[in-house]
Amino acid sequence: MPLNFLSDSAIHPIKRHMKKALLTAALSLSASGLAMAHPMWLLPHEFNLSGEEAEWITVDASASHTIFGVDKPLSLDKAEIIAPDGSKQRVSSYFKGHRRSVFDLQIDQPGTWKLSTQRPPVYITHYVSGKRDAEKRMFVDKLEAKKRLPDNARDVKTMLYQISTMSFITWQAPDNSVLTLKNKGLELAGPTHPSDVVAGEETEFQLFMDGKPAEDVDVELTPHGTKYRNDRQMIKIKSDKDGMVRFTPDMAGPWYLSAYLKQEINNDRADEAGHILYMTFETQLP
Amino acid sequence: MFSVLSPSVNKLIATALLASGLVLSGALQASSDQKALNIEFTLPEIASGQYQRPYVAVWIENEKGKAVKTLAVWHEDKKWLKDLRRWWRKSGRYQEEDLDGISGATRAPGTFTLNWDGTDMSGQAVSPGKYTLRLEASREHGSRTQLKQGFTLPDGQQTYRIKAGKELGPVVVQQY
Repeated sequence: MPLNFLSDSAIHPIKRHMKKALLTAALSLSASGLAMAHPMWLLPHEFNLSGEEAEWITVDASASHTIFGVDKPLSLDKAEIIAPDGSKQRVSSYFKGHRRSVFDLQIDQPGTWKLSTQRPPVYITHYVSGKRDAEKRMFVDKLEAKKRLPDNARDVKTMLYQISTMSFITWQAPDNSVLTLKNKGLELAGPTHPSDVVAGEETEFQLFMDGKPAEDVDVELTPHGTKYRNDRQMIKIKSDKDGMVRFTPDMAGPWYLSAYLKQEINNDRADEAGHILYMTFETQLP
Repeated sequence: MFSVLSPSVNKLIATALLASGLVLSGALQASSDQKALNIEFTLPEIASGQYQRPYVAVWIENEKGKAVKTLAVWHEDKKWLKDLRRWWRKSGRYQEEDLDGISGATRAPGTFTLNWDGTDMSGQAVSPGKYTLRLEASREHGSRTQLKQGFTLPDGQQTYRIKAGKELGPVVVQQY
């Protein structure tokens, strides 16, 4: 998957030069810049609250190829918290360690809260060159690629990646205000509320692209704890013509959803857009 | 005489009485005393250095799994009510029910009896159909146990016995 090469640091010119020589090595060594390549997640320690008073919860934020295995800390400066009444707040302060970031959040309104963060949009130009048709890429948009691509570059395609991750917390009864579509980019909504997923019961999520049901979205769903089992137990499905994905989670606990949709855009800066949406949700005991 | 009638019949009679102006306190009394189920269950003695009394909920769900009526919720700090995971998800979090009179402090091990009069959370007799009695107990430093028994309304007299789980002893359910 091309996402393995998403890297902020690759935009830095010195690193870009290093990249050419170290491409293979960097990939296997997980150089720090490649942190940006890992699927990112927000993992609240509580998803459903029942108390009578406002309650603090704590949230881990990291990016990793293992499910909820901390690896690369996320920057949370742009993270957004939306309360049930629609008010927005930033993460007031957080700890950024070597492997994960952590923030605490006071849930002081009944209803469903949304936590989310996104990466800045990334342009990657893929091309083939040389006698052996070596596949190469530059972290530039179409305009920049025109100036920089070698003369013998072939099969040139520029992708724009839009990546976000989210999770939901519910105090008392769930509600849908934070799930209201913004009609922009790849989005997910019910019919099953993310705070209402139950082991052994069919769950239905609907995916939307710019507000319209999104067909053929590649969706992967994986339960926590892959570290302690051999079978990843990942469910792979594609959304149907109504943007629906249906699945029955068998295991209670936190699950990780990733949804990927490629879309022709063909503008000045990119040929295609890759929309990636990650979500952490809890599958409850029946 | 009312106790042998199905709840819906009882409701009809109550309505008829109200309509005809023959509101007798005895008739209304009979209505609310009507028993659809008698439930006897046990909280077992558990030898444990860190024994805390379990949180317990007993309730009725309809065929679609919707909570119809809560018969008992025993708890301390509501922060941990969510640990009665199914009851919280099906009923507690919506706070639609008036739990005064059925909620209370956690109980020490022993045997307890509850009655269900065949009404829903608004006090109306439920319609005939399939229902499930559910018992859930969750204990700090302990386990969570869920027991259930399906039954049909109306039905003849029935006795159901539910096998014990870790946090709940055997249950005897008498249907009238």
